[in-house]
Amino acid sequence: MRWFRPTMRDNYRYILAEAVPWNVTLDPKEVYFTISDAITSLFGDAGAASIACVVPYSVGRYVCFRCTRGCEDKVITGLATVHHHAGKPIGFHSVLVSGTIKTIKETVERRMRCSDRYKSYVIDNETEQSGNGNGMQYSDTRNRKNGNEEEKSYKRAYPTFLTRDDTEEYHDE
Amino acid sequence: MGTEESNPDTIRIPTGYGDACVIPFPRGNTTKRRFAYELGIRGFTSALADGIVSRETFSFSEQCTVALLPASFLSGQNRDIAGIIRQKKKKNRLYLVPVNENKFVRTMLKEPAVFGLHDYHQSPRDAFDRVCAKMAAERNIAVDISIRPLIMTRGWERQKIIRRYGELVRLWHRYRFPLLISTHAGSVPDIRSPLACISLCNLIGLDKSETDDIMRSFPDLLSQDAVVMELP
Repeated sequence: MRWFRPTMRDNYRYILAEAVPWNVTLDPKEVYFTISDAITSLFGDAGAASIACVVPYSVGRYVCFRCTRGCEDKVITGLATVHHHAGKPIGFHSVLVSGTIKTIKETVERRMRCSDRYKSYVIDNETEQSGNGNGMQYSDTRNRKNGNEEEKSYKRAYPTFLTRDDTEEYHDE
Repeated sequence: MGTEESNPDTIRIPTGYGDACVIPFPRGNTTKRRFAYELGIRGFTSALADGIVSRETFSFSEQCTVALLPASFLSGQNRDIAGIIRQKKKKNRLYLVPVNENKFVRTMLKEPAVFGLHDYHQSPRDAFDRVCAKMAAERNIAVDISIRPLIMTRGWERQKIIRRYGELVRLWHRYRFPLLISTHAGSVPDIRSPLACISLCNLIGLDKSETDDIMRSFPDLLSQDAVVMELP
């Protein structure tokens, strides 16, 4: 049963956002809790209720958010304040604001077709590498296997972000 | 996708949005080229990079050219900072000093080597007053608004920072000293797009057109010999 007649229903806008780094795995439910927490922290409970942000659709590193019309800027601001998701650093960048989810899906398909060039140029090392706080040794340790004793001695692991050209330069040196 | 060393006599900066601070490797975990690539994708064309040695311009495509300029965001004791500024140890670098206390800020505002002030949100409330604002406007010394504390803090801490930045923006509306907007990104996920910067600055009282002008006027703030490069 529909509660309201069409003219009485809320108008919604859909916001497409992409997550950085590209190899992050996103669960829509967890993303909802993350963005809900960020928006509530920024605008309060009353503001979050009027924004009514939900996650209707998510694929790969792209997430679609739905909010009430006129609150798109608030959602974009809330997205900008998200810095961690599921214990890992993350950044959300708004890509598109649309009135229909169909346009969002078309844009996601188009961008996913074009993302191979990006993935082939950048290297985001979230978990496979470990470092000893000495920066560029990551490239050196990347090919080592987990059983290596030297790698076991490294105390902390954190992400590194570089490009293919950087690794080539490093190995040339 | 190549890099080009710029002429040391001039600074070639593409027109467009500028980020006032990024922190590349070794202090951050992202290389210069990767930072430039990500900044270019997000819509920036120039950035001050803390800790790099020379100016570099990275071209990834015809429309995507990003210039990284060397800058030093000094911190520590007032005496040490004043010593570095007066000796100007590292040439061809833009120096930004912290807003530590009022007397120190007034002294630093008289130094020709100082390009800008940073860490306003951590300063005492009287450190940057209307006299400092007037001096900064006369001497064209910029004040940096970092959006990183707005992102990384929650609750009363963020409320306090928003209030402090609001006071700074009120002074800016009156005296019109140069402002900088920076992400202070040390990593790729920390980078925020110009649109996100605009929406975050809306929280502190800067409207869309004002933030847009501030971020676009970034090349004009640099030294007199800056050459603004038109993108095709």
